[in-house]
Amino acid sequence: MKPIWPAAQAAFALLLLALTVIGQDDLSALLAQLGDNQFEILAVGALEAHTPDPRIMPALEEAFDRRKAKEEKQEIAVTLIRLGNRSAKYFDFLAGFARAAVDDRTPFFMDFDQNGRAIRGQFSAEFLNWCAINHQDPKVTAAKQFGYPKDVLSLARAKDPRAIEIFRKGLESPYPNVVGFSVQGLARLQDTAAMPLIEKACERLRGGRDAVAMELPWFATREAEALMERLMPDRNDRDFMTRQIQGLRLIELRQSVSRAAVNAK
Amino acid sequence: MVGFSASTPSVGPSADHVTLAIISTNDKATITLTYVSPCGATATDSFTFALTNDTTVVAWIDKGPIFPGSGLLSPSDQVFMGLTDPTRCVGFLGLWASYGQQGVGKVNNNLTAQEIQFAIQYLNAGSGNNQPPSNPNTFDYVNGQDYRLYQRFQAYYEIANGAINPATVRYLTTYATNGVTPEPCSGFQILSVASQPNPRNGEFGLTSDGSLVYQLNEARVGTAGQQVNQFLNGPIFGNWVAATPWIWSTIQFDANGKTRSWIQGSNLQIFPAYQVFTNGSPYSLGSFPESLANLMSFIALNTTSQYTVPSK
Repeated sequence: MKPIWPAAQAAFALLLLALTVIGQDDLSALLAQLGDNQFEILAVGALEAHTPDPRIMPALEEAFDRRKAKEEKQEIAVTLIRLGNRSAKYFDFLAGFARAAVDDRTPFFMDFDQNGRAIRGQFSAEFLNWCAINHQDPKVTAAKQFGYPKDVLSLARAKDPRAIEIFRKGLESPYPNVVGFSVQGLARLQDTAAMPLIEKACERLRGGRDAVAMELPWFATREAEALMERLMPDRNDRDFMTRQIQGLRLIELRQSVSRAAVNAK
Repeated sequence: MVGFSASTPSVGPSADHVTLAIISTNDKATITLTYVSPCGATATDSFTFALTNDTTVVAWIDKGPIFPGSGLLSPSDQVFMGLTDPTRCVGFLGLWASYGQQGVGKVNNNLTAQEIQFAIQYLNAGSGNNQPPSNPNTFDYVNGQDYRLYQRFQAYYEIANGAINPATVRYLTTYATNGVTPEPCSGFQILSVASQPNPRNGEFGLTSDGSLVYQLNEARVGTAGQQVNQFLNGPIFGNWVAATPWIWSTIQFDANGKTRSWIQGSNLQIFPAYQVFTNGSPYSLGSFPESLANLMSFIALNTTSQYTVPSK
């Protein structure tokens, strides 16, 4: 190792000190934001990207207990799991909503045209019939269905292998976006063995297969690409979706690699 | 503004009381009591008070002026197909929200300027509201939340030497709430998500300079909407919490008891549409329609665009 000049050495030490102080201030501010009544959900994301610190996990756990809104709790739970917290508490919270979504077998509320595209503002006859027989309000039932994909997406973003069975069950759902986000969940976990099940799910869906096709680039495998080609024949369409997914995949990959590198030090 | 009430029994030396009635609002009146003694000496006292209009302001998104025209984007464009197909739309918004969360913005979102504009217009129009009814002060309307902002405010106070006497300010009605954001994908607006109220939403009182009695109503779209907005309009590596501007209305009453003029960009944000109601009826000069130009100016703003002064 080359000797460093004393002045440069001092400057380097000062720089390190400054960076450390900035880092601590930054972390303190982020942790304080978690305690704010006006919830800064941004702080959760920033804490995930922050250099590991023993204060982060307990602060997020406290925030999870304190927060009441489902969406906020989901976001914190996703972050805790991605940071390596294996507690069943956080997984169960996410899995509970996702299970409700994948278990529901009420007919999908939207109707499809002859090309399998959902028709805006049109309930399917099968759905209306089911609501009539079961004395359910179509709008209330449809609203419940519309909320499902977000719950499956939250679990998918957590990248927790315990969720594989839930996502596989999600492939049997009548709701295209629940199937789509289940595919994303399986892809994030690289469950390539699920590919035949995904193909079967696409054959079974009455329409909305695009919602499944657009999640396939998460796999980044030749097999997934081939299935996408079948489901989305237009090349421009495929390229656009592939670029969109790959961009996000790359950002997330970079983040997890840099986190792993810091943890390894 | 005031007059003798019909219940006043008589006027003259034998009268034991008088009742004054308020005839109109949005004004001030001075009541003077003069005593003339038998020897002709007089003593006089008076006070001036103001009673404001019962004022309601509704902010709502009118889809008509902002719905994208057919020439804006080709139907074979991926963003057109993605947003107009309900199931793809859900996937798109999930993806765009994730990108926004990661700080991807207008410059690096890989969309063309036309695609961005289409998305802004389509998503805003798709989550539009119905026009407010002729009387918005009903339980069903307020509870139904088919608006972005709703507030109602009325006050009265005494005026001394041309200024509002702070100790006398009283409120007949104070209510301010934020609406919800309907989903733009299904065409049914089947689900609505919570908007984010500004920490100062519902603030009311006398301004620090004592010149105005006011109530503030301020909010913006919720978490997912802000993340999507970062993706479409935010700066590269942007903080999505900072990307979205606020909308507001501020009802302001002056020292004459009059409602201050409505100005978009001042006591109203430049977007969306605003309708002002006085004493339960639409105020003919209080209708501020939406325009595409205002929407485009609005989305270029960020979280620093929020109501600041005058305030407490």
